Amino acid sequence: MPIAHSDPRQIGLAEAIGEVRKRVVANRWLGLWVVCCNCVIAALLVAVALMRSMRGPLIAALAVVILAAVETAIAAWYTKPSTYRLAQRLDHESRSGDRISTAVYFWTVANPDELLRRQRTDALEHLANVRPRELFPVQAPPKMWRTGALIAALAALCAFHSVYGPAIPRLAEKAARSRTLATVFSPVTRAVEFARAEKKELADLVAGNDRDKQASETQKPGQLPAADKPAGSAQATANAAKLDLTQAQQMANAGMPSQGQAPNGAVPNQQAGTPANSQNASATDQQSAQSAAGQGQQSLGQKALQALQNLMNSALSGQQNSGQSASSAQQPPNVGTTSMQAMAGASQIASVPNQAAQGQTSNSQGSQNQTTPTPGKHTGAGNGTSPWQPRDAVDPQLAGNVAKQHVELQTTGFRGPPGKERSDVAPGTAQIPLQDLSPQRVRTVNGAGQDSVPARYRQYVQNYFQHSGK
Amino acid sequence: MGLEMKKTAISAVPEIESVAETVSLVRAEISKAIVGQNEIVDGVLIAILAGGHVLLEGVPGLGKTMLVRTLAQTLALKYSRIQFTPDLMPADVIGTTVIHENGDGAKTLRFQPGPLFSNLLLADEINRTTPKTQSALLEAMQEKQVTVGGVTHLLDEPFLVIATQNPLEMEGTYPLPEAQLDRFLFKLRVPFPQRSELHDILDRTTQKAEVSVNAVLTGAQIMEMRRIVRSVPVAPHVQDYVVQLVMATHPENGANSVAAKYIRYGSSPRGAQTLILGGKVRALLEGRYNVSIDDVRALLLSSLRHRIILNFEAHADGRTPDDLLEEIATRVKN
Repeated sequence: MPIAHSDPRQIGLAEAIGEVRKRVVANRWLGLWVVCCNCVIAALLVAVALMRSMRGPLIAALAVVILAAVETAIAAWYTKPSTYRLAQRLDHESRSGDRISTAVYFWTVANPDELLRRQRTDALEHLANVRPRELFPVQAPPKMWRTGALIAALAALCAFHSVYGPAIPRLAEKAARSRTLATVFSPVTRAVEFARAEKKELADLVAGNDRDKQASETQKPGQLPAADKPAGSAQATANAAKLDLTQAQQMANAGMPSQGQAPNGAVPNQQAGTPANSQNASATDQQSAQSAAGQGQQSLGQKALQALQNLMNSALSGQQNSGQSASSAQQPPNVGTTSMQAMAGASQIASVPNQAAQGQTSNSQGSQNQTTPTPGKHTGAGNGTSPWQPRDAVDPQLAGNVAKQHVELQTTGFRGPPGKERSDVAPGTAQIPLQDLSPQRVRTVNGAGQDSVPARYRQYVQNYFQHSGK
Repeated sequence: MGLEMKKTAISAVPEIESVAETVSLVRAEISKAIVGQNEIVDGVLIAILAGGHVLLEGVPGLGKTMLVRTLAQTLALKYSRIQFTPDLMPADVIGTTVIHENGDGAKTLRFQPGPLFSNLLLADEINRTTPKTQSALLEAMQEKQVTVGGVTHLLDEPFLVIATQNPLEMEGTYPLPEAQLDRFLFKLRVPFPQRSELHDILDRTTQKAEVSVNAVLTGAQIMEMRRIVRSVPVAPHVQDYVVQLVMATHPENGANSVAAKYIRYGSSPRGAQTLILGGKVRALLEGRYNVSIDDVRALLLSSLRHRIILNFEAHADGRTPDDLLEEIATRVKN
């Protein structure tokens, strides 16, 4: 909205608006140009850091900066605010109560009435007290610190470049030889290597056990099939072997002494009353215990592994003597001459050496009782007729390090085609746990349920009935 | 039309400068009887010059009725007062047709004007009467006329209704309907006086000397000043700001999240008219000849607080129209 200069009073208004326009455009140009300069400096930083020669990037950046100055000046001039908008800004800055903008807007009205003329006069009188140069100073754009930081970084990078060459290749070389980085990453590397070694050791251990088991099976071709075995000792012995194998591995993992190991390093698991069909196992135990006592400085893990080997051997010997032990499994529990006793005795706690020597520990007795099977600790394998029950109770000290050895597989379950898995549940026999659907007690007797009404709803209802909406 | 308006404006030239002076005289006279309450007095004077009605809300004893009575004395207007009660009927307000016997014995029906036929009507405790009686004021407030028995009677100009209502004791009251509320230019909340003002009130009202108020403004002058007020120019950006404000109170626009959340119904176009007209009067009283955004902001609450309807969320969260309007105004760019 151009202001005509026919009225001499308009000159002051036009001059003031022109002054404001110049300063607004200058500030806008500065802002745009500084943004361009920031971009150029950032690009120059990358170029100086990468390139060997600084001359080319510097010259190109200088040219771009000059070109940007011209282009931003043109852009700022062509996007300058209108006169009315500038008058609004002047009103806002000078707190003129929209006098100037109103006067500018109604300036072109032909034959203005008295109120308009008075309004113009009032605006011009007010404008006489306004200093556009003070209200609109040409100043650096906000966040100029970014440009300063970029220039400082560029200067530092140029200095580095002049002395050492391009910075990034130099830093890459240094990083490759840096011990600091190696120090930072070494704990992680060592942890990974340690985990791998442990995993490999465990795999080797399991593979060795499997080989031993296969070898023992091949050594006993005349062994009865599992279905034909008398209810009793052979399978129970194998179960006991597995059980003790688990215990031994748990102890080995936990780094704790095994049950047959005395705290003072003596041989605790020697049994005087070893039955005849478990002499092999007890002899092996004695040998291993004596060797352990002779060495005396074996690690706990090695001791646990040795106990594991002993248990495996005893289990194999139990399978070999399954025919003989079938009759012994039918004997009363207080006899203590079954292989179960040997197995139990091999893993008895050293704190009861007397009972172990007699071969009549309470645990072994309980485990051999066929009429009243008691799945007690360490003795569940002795029951020839009762089904195998896994031990749920694990020593809490070992619970953190237990590696689950026995994976329960559905060996009898036939796995059909995908999507048609076999289900053991007959139609109509599935039982879904039902919730208690009986009516709940509700606290709504005699208005007591108001406690459960949210406060905001109560407030709203009160306000509604008090007619305080307006 | 344009020529007539120009002639009117030119003829009003001598009074342009005297508007602010006259109003300041009225203020001085009112201040003889009313202590403090400057915003209320200014609001009432702006409403008089803008040609609107005022709803005063305040607890008893704050001087609402006294303010109106003093104003009537100052303005030398015909003043009447109606105490609104639940059994008040529309005929008690408007008037009724009565049988009149002439000198020759002939009987004719003649309209007996009610208290509504005055220049300044004080509708005291307007929310205590039934909506039927409240609605009897609708035509008078907007059209400045009353229709009784098929006959339309024009009211004298200037006609100004100043109603009062008590925000407490809401039992047995009938809140004003929205259409009735919209006809009030301003809704002014009368605050409790300050400590020093309370001392002055005690000094003036407990001594023997009675205060006498002089009439400094006539009805004709008020009408002339109303014409002057309408000639005050408004810049487009100020008018646009008013439109943005009113539109921002409407939840269906979705532009303002506050309105969308708390307002059930926004301001009517009368709200925008009030802001512009009130801004013109305020500009003249401030010694300016143009409406500014500051004038609009100053009149925002009194102009729109009774024109927006809050929803359940606002009542539940304890939001008031005033703080919602303030929040809306901060979000509207000028």
